[in-house]
Amino acid sequence: MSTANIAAMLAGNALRFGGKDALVFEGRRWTHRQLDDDVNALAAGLSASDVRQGSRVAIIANNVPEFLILSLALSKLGAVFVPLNYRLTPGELAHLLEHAGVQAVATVPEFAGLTNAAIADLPDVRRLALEPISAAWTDLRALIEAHRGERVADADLADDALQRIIYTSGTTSLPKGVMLTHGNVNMNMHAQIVELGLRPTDRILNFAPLYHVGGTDLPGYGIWHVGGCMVLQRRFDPSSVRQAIEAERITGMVMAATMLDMVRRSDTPADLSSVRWLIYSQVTSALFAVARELFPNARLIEGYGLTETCSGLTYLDQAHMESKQGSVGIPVPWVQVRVVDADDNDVPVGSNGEVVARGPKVSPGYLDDPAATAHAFRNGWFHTGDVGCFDADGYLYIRDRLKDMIRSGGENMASAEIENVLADHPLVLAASVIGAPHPKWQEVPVAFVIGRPGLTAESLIEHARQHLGRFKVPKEIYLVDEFPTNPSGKVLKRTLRDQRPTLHPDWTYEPLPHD
Amino acid sequence: MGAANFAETLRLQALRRADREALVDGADRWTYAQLDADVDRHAAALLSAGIGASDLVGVLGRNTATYVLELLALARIGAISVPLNWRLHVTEQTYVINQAGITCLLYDDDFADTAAELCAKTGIATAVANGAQVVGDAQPLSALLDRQPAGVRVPDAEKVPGDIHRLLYTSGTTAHPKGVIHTCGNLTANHLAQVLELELTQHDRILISAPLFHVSGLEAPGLAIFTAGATMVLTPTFKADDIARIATGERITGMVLAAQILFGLLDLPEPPDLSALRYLLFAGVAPTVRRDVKRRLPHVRLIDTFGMTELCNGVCYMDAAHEESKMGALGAPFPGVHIRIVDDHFRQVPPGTEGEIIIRGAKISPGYWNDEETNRRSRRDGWFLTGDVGRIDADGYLWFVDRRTDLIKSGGENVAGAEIERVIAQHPDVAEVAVIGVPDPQWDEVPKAFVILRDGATATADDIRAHCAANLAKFKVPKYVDVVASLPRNDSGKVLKRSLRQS
Repeated sequence: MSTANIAAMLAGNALRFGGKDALVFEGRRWTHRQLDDDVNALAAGLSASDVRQGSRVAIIANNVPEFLILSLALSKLGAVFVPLNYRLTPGELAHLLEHAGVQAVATVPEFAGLTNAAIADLPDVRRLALEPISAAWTDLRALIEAHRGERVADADLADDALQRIIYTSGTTSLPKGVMLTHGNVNMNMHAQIVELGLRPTDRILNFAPLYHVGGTDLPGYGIWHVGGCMVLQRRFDPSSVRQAIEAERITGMVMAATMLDMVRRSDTPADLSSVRWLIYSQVTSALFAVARELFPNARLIEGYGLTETCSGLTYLDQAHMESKQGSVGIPVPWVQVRVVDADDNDVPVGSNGEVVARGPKVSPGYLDDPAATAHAFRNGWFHTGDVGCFDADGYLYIRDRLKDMIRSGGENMASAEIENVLADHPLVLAASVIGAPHPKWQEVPVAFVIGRPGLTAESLIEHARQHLGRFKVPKEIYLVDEFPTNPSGKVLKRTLRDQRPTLHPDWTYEPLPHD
Repeated sequence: MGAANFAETLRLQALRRADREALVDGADRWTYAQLDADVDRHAAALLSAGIGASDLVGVLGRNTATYVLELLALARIGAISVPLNWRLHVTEQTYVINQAGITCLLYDDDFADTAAELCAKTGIATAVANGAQVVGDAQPLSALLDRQPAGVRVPDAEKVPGDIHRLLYTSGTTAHPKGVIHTCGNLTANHLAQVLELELTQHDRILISAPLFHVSGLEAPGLAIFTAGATMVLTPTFKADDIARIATGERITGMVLAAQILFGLLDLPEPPDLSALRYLLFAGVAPTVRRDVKRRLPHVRLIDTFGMTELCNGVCYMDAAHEESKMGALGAPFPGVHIRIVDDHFRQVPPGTEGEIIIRGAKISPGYWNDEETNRRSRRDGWFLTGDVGRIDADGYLWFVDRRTDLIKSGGENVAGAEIERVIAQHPDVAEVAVIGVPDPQWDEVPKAFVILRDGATATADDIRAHCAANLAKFKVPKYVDVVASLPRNDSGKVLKRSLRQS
């Protein structure tokens, strides 16, 4: 028993909701009692192999139940898990494994080769298998069976005890290790419970990657805190999503905007009426209509959050789902959000500034990086690096990433502002705007657009000219079928910048140099 | 850090749930948008009366919307509210006001005489009359409100979790009332626990019948109703027919009720329609009574709890799955709460062993106001010592055994009065019972029972003793049994054993 250890909820759930579903994955099912039993058995096994309070263990895997079971077994012991993105190179992974100081790394067969390569020069790192790999890997399923029936006391932890180190994708510099504490995760679970009105009858579908807060914290573990059920999927697949919603009577889920249209286009017939909430971000009005049509009973939640805020920081509420479209809503319980200038003073309503946040679910900082921590968390507020503004009613609008601002002829323009205008075109599904180098203006905006059949670059430019200042009208249009995204569905603008010189624009205002 | 001021919750709910019902008091109704705006108006009015961010403000009133608005307005300003128990004698009130250092008083018409005396005798510098009875220099609330411009907004005072939200004086069964500090952090911790444990959502409509000067009115779930975006419904009295009418008409989904009021409710000639009711929260009810309630309200979750003002209300609620199998237990700890049983040497005892209940966690009060001596005695190594005796079973459920101070020491044995009470309560003729220890030349102390019989019942003292002898060790059988018409109680309905000992 402890006050802050997030694993403490499991024993209570086993007693209260013992026979109810907790976790479902590819035909396997865990009740709350079985989940508690497995976590205890694994914690006992790990404890016997020298994992203890403060130990760090990395996970390189896609969504499998043992990922979550291991993360909770580690939490139970007061150990720290380090989820890593399997799309990184062996060299990048090796750097992070060393930076985090892990004693072991767990993976699945698919990434055994990658993991082996990553630890080639780290001989002390032990190898754990979430799914059976080979004799060189300690099989965690076997470990669970070997220790079945054993129980381990929850480590007595304070709120500031580290639960996880999660590396941010770092588009400009090396990834930073965001520290999330048991207090952060607890307060996030409670915020999700209040925001989503979660009850024991709720069943979430989870295909968001578990190495992001989207998979573990939105509401992630929070569904278990109320005695509900998580249906886990290894990866996103539109047809499986439809099937699972009907078969498991799913009540809520998180989905990247770009996935919405893929689910719509999937022709697998399914009853999707059980879904009562859907969290997504950066949804255009066309995609909002898609979501409306797909999930007629759902509250559609435009959300905004970062790894450093342990997922959702603001949510758009049901009452303003339509009237405040484009807004990311208002702060979730117990956090505060401000929009400030360079000196951390509040900017007036309607003015752009940097979004800053504080509260019990905000990370204490970056692992072993006092300079980055001091900079991002200055004056007691976490500086998101995002540009936003509040309207007169207190609704937040995210304009852009600070680093995605386009600097053109002395003007700073938000790529998101241009994207929003393009997205208002009835045939546009999604738009992404980057700055392209320009000899005279330094940078000019160019647009990548996914459209419905019939969309022409000319009609798009006409639309842009009607709604945007001259200097903000894109100088090139690329009509594409998809965007390069990371697994959370976030568009990788860096990749777009890299790809642009190799592509031929569908429309151009003036020839631009291809650097 | 973060949104530690409770009033910030309201501000956001006014956006999320502008048109949903927040508060009902008789015919008056507030949506969240209206409530938030009215709290602004009251905050501006109280500021204009001279009440500031660091002031201690006594509130002497009945359960009305004005009371709720004033508590929320004081939070918005950043003042410390001190809800006052109007059942106390004016000399006791004077003690509280002086001990707390209260300088401002808000009062209802019904308590104008008390207010006049308090203003004259204590350091109260600012008084606001909620009604028409203006005493001394008091300013009428209506006039203050009228002077506020339409749409006035008052920003929420910045608070950190350690800042004091309120002082709540305990009913004082043993000594003078003590001022329990509730911090902003205590409230947050309690509210998230209430939402989780009672499964509160915006669809709930919760009746507040316990006084708002008690923790059960304020925090069970009390203000957490607003955290969940649900509806708070007030009742003017505890009378069964009033509660029945409101519970039926407002489609109440949850409430706290004393068992005796509940039976009054169910025995009305026209029983209320409680089909919307999800849960009933009540503490210290005998299993026989509980079974009776369950038989009559099978769809309702019956929740036992262990709570105190010092714990910012309950620290455990009995869960639905164990209502029957663990009947008599008080539930397992809330998240973030640690309950432990220790022996006389402060050592943790094994499961199933009786000892003192000690508790720590984010919802536990940091201490009593201006009372270092009691703080030292009641706290050790970060734990709050409840002074109660209990045990925790192998599954982690808390069972209450007795008030430590109510232990009867007889012939070298410790006897829990509550155990004898539980047995006597099972006698079919018994309505209520209280057991105390009385001095005895041979055994040091012996148990004595005070019994109220059900209407028309005829059991004698000897019948009760025979029933006890059939169910209890010999030394636990009360030497004396008095059949009485009533028992002395404090405001929360707790039997005053001290008074029984003195009688």
